[in-house]
Amino acid sequence: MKSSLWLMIAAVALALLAGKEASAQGCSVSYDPSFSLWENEFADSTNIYTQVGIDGSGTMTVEGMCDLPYITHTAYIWNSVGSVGNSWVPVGDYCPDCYVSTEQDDILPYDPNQEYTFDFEGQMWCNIGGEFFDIGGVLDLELAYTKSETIASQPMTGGNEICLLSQWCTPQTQPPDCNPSNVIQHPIILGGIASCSPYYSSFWLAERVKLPYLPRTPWICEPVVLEQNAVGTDDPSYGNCTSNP
Amino acid sequence: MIRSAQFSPKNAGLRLLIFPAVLRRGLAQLLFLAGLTTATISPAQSNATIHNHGAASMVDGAAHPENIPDVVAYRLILLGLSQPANPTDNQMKRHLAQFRAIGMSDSDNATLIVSLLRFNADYHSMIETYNAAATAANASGQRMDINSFLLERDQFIQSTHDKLKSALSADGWGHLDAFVQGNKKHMKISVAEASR
Repeated sequence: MKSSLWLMIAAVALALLAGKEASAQGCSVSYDPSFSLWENEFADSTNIYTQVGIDGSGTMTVEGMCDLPYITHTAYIWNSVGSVGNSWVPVGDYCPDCYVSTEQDDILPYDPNQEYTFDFEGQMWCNIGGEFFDIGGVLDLELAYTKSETIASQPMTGGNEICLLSQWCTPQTQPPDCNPSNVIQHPIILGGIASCSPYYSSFWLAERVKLPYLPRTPWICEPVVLEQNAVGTDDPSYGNCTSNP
Repeated sequence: MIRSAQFSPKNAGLRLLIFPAVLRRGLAQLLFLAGLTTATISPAQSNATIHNHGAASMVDGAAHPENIPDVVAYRLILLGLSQPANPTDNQMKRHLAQFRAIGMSDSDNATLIVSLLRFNADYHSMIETYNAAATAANASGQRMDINSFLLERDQFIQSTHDKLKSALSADGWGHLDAFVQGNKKHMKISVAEASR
């Protein structure tokens, strides 16, 4: 018992001495991060594709005795859309002075009638100092359908015609989330003259920023199928448009 | 418009998983007491000096796309559009969806695909070369100056931008540039990047 007590006292004394030495030679590190976080979302007829990337570097200032070889920076990306990718993914270990360029991709087979949440975030962690970079955001995503009526038209160069549109949705599905004002009708035969259809169906990848406790922002609509992004029809029935205001 | 999502449950999870504060403090104190390290960072030091959230010094393209410089936007868009030399099926599908969204002609698409392949290889090769030198320097306790690399990087992006502008048709370039400008809302960059 007595020998144990002496051993403890000796350990504390040793620790205090070691502490003084360590303080004198101490290591102080500061890091000024200069990273960019980028994200993208695209869709085709079956899938939503999301990308989240970190690209950049930082300036580390070291004072005192620091063991640079033992410092590692690790990039983590959170890229979740719907039920896919709900976890942090380590996407690379880097030396303190290294340049970081990495990304994480996801694919979600989508249901056209469903709204999805795209949650993205990037973090950088130091094995000595912990987290030193953290930024992200949340978007609502949906595949939106809109039917429109041609209300006027105007010939353009190259045989094209611009068709001015107004929404043509059932009363229950108004206002449509994506409401195109016009479509450019190309000639069906190369060298021919285009003519607007009476109605158009169009498809969109719609996104909006999701902020808790704040009113929802308007949808921002990107065409899913380019070329014309709209299919002409003579069918006069109202469309069941996507409407989630 | 603020789009940052800090302190979400997933953040808390990561903190616990990777570096619980209690464990970090305990480990630092343990190492300090045992005199096992020459680089002692006290918990107070590590919190005060190294723990630096980026949000306060970021430019959010969703709120201020006009503050994202073109050279940064092109870099991040080209990164998102490019893919490795042997892409998977899913990467190919995404690539097609991306190209549809840009809306260029087939011949401009072909030009862009070739340019992106070269961009992807050259950009990552440039980074690998720099990182190999930086890793070697840090391993021997030396520092690496990143500024010359950043200059080289920006010159490379500017050169890629200029080559694309001259290789694509006027209509194709218009589509690509509109796509880049429109996608600035998907970027969050540091103030340092914005002012370079």
